[in-house]
Amino acid sequence: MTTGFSWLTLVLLVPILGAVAILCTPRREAWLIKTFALIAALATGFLVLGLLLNYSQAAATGSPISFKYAENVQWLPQIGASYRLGLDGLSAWFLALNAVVFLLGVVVALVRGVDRPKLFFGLLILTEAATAGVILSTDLLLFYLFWEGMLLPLYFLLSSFGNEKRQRATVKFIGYTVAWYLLMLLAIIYLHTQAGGSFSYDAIAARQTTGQSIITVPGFGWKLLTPDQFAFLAFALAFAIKVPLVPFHTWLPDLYESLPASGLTFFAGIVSKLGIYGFIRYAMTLFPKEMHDFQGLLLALALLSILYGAFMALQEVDIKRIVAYSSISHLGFISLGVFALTVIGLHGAILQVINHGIIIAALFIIMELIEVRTGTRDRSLMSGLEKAMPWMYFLFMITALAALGMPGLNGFAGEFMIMLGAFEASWVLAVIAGIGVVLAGWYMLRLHQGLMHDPLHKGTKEGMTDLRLRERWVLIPLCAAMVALGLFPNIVGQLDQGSVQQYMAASHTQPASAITQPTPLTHEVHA
Amino acid sequence: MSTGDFQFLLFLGTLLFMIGATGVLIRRNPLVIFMSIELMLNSVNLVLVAYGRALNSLAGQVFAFMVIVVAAAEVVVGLAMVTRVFRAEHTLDVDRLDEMKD
Amino acid sequence: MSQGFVTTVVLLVLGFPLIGSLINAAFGSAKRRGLVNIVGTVSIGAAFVVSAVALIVMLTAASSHRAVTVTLWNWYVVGGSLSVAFQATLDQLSIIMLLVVTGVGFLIHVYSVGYMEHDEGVARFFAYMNFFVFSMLFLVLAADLVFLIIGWALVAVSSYFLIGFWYERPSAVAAARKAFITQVIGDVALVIAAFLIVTNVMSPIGTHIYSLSMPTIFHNVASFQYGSSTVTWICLLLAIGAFAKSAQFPLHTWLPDAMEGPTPVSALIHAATMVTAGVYLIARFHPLFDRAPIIQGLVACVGIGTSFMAGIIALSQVDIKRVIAYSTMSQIGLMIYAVGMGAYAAGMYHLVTHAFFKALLFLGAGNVIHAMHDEQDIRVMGGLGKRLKITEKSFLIGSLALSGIPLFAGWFSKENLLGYGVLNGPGHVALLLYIIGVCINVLTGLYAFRLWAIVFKGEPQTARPAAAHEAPRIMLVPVVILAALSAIAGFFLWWPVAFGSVRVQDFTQFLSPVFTSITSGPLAHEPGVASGWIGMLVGTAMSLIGVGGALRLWLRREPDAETVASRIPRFITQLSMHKFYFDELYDAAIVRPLRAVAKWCRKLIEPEIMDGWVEGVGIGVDDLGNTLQPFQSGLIRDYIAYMVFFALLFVIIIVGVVVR
Repeated sequence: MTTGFSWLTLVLLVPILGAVAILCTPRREAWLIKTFALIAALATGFLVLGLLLNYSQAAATGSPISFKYAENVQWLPQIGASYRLGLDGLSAWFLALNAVVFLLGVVVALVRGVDRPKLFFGLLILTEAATAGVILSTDLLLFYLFWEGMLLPLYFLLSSFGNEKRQRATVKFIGYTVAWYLLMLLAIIYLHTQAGGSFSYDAIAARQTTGQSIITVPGFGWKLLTPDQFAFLAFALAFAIKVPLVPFHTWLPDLYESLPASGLTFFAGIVSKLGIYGFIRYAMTLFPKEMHDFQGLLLALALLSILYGAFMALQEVDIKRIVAYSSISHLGFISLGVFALTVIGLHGAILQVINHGIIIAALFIIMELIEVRTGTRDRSLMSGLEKAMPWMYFLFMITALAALGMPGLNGFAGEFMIMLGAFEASWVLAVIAGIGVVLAGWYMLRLHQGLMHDPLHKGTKEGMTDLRLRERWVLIPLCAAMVALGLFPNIVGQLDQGSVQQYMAASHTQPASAITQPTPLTHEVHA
Repeated sequence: MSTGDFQFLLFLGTLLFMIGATGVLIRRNPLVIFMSIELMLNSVNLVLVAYGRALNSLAGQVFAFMVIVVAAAEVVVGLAMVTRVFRAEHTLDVDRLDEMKD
Repeated sequence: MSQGFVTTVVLLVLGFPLIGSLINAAFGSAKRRGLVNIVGTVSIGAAFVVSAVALIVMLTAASSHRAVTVTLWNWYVVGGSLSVAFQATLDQLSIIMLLVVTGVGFLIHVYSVGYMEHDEGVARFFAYMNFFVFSMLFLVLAADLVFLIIGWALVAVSSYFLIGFWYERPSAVAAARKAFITQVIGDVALVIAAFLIVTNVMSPIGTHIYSLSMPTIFHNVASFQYGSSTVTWICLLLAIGAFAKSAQFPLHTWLPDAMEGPTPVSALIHAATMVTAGVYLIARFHPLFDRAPIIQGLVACVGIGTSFMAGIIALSQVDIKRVIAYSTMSQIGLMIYAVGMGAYAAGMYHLVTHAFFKALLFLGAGNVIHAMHDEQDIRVMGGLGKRLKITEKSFLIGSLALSGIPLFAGWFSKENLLGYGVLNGPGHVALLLYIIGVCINVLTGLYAFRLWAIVFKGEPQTARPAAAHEAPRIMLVPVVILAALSAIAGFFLWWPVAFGSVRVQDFTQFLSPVFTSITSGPLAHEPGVASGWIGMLVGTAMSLIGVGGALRLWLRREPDAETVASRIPRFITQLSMHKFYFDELYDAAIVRPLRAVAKWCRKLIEPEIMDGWVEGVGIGVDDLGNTLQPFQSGLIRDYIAYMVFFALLFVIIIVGVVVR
């Protein structure tokens, strides 16, 4: 079934080979390690770029989602597991973002410098392979292996680099996530049995749903949850933690606070977005009915994330944590676009994933550059930095405006589409999201103005310098991308048209082969 | 073999096993503990053989041989370790050999 | 006008200020002041020339071919459900706004060259100013909702930059933030209005494709039933957007604070252009407003109410710029009232004349502040007329125009819109609003001449006015030009004037295709000045009373203003001085509760509840470990004992169960 060259495998192999090359390089040859890392990240980037450019010409297969560049190699035929990879309009953008943020992570690490480069770059490049695997796999067992495997390099990366709080934060993150991912594994095994012993995405999407409730409250005739609903919840919980949706978010501020910017670019940029990816790719299409059953709950969580993240960002004093909470709020927006289950909302969500990946990476880089210069992360100990650093002011301004959804910049394009999609579902959603936008304006300005305006703070270090040339050239492309995507968001919109239609179609109907039985909702009374 | 003989053998096995276990629990010298362990193993061998006879099966004897071989191997490794430990620590009191605890 | 011509005009008009802004941002500095000044002013001047050319070309075209919409590029297209394109419209309404923005803007830029002469941040200043002009032009050219919203927000953000220009002043920083947040509220209202429009307007070809193109929407405006709740909501949200931008009740509190910016900024943004965008918005969306009579009434009431309130507040303020700011709020209230009554052309007309005389007043005030070395308190001024002769005369003309003294520009526009209201409004309510309107005339005359009299006449209150000197020529020329415009613009705009081979027509007639061609809804005809004779006479008489009263109270001082004030009930003077306590009210009702919620989230919810259960699991595991730890003694003997114990237990249980 494999047609032509295995391009997607190459996408996985290049970073793995890069990591191996780094592993074989002696520790003292730092420049060689850096070169290998840069080459691996760049090569992956160009490879992905080539895939995107040729996307429309490639042949598509499969249903309900058609994949391009599909690969299928038997792996464990006894249990119906295969090595299946595929690319669609959704994963194409995630893959592109993946390549960009890891390249950015390498560049930031090169610019900022990093101790133990061998460990850092090796793990970073390895993580890129794992996240690419999550994005590309179209076999649920393979997906799960990459999903868990991602944690391995991440664990060492998070626990080895960053400030003194990192150990605790890492343990919290890993403990939090691993526990719930096992539930997802159970759900995958359940789906495997339902799909006639195959882990393939296509087969599972086409499975027959039974809809029998497994828990019945005796005496009342209440049927609580169907197995599919349980499976859906297991998936949803794993993804909600990854996103994270409030109230599953507490690992995030601690972790983001402790990580260096080179790690945050890809952690905030892609790793947490994989939760969104999971919701679209798996929760929405494998459980169309359950997605609708729990839509209200998910929407409520998304709105809660928007408002709660914004309120926390309003009160926080640590500048990195402010950005972390703003990220929670923004991911609430993206989730809102997904959970609204409308075509426009989904378009907005995908667009905003790209946008937010760029914005949050730039914000964290800026926060670190400010911290390096002022020697503190306490917002109340900084003010009036504009005078000393006009470049920083300018680039931070664009980034902050993009983050607060300033029309004309990319944050607006995504939020506009998300809110329009949410508005189609219900006007209430758009209004509450609108409150979130106002609060975003407030907290972002509080951050930007607080740092940049007012008279220079008394305790500020002497001799602060503006951004150096290479630091500028890390940020300028990001800011240019914010402007470009704000004015021409159609660049993103055109590639995923067909796939979004397919996802929406899959989320609205049962598979054609399925015999749909009336499935009881929660607390439905049987007379 | 009469039922009485069989029951006697089981009792004997249990008794030897309890003596061995008690020895392991209360003695501090590793050599004595080894002997106690040997006692426990052999009590099990006794029971195995007794059952094999009662059930008219060869499996019990096969297992007994198996246990003897394992016990022999264990003694070889164990005595070597005891010698090494004594040379390193100059004591054979197991209660004082708690280096790995901390 | 051809599509190609309009595209060129749009690109040039937008391009000049944007490029000017970028050049100044990238290469400007205080050391290259000459370059900065030239780039800053020439870019706006060029945009003005292009606009003027566009006007001439437009006048040569037939009246029905004057509105042209061009599509620049596709912004976002979702196959089968959404199509958003960047579109720009050049029509009678937008060309007037273009001319006002670039024309008045150019004069103010020239003035700024003198005003910012000693400021270190001059490059930044001109970069921001040019960017503002770009944003404003962007807004008025917008022909689709996304374009409009982007322009709407760009205007807000450039205003934010300019208010907070002196970023080392905490008060300026706070004022900028306040203005911006208020604008964001308006933006969100506008966005949601856009959603309501696109989801309810019928698509042109019966498809389900959402189109955000305004010509398409207005073309299909019949999808909105007269007085239906949908159109009422839409117009309410649009009105909120307009109120935020135009500093109308209840979103008005940011405007006086915005005076923290440099004075040319106040003249350009908070008098002539940005704050009038709300008027423009309602006029632009008139096909919808014509279908929402309730909101029209609301808009008219809010406009007149804000106008009256601002007039009262202006009477007691002592900061020269704040007095003019409240006067701006008051005059924009009148425009809002006009567009609420359906007098769109009248509202736009007042917008244009107001741009002239209000910019003039602000620039005059700038001259005063410049002469007084950044002193803005009018109580320390007085007698400045002797030292600042040209400024004083110009200021006088501006005040006359503002008060609506016959034959000055403000008289034509103000009496026109008041007269329209009483003639076309619904009965008693319209009459009541009209009565308030003429009372505002009195207030206008009072505060305008109070300011003039206190600042320029009388005896100097301190020694400083005596040392004042007139502004340099580069600051006087724009003031004089604006004074001339304030004096004659009424004629210029009202009566036919020969303009080459083309006749510049009556302003209302020029605009009428915009306001009548699209909608089939009930739209009354605009009256000429002649049809409102009685109203006009009454209005003029009230203006004269106001001016006369002001001259008596503050110039001749018989009776003295303080004595009169002491006879007014105390609560009124207190309300006026404390700006009706709106800042305090919003602080207590909105800002503090939101802060409290945020604080509560941070202090209680996050650590105790959100993180509590996560940490709780961790602590539970920890405790369990601590409980079990003693059993892990490290002694093999203990482990064996446990083993034996549990093995025995197991045997006993098995035996117990099986045997039984």
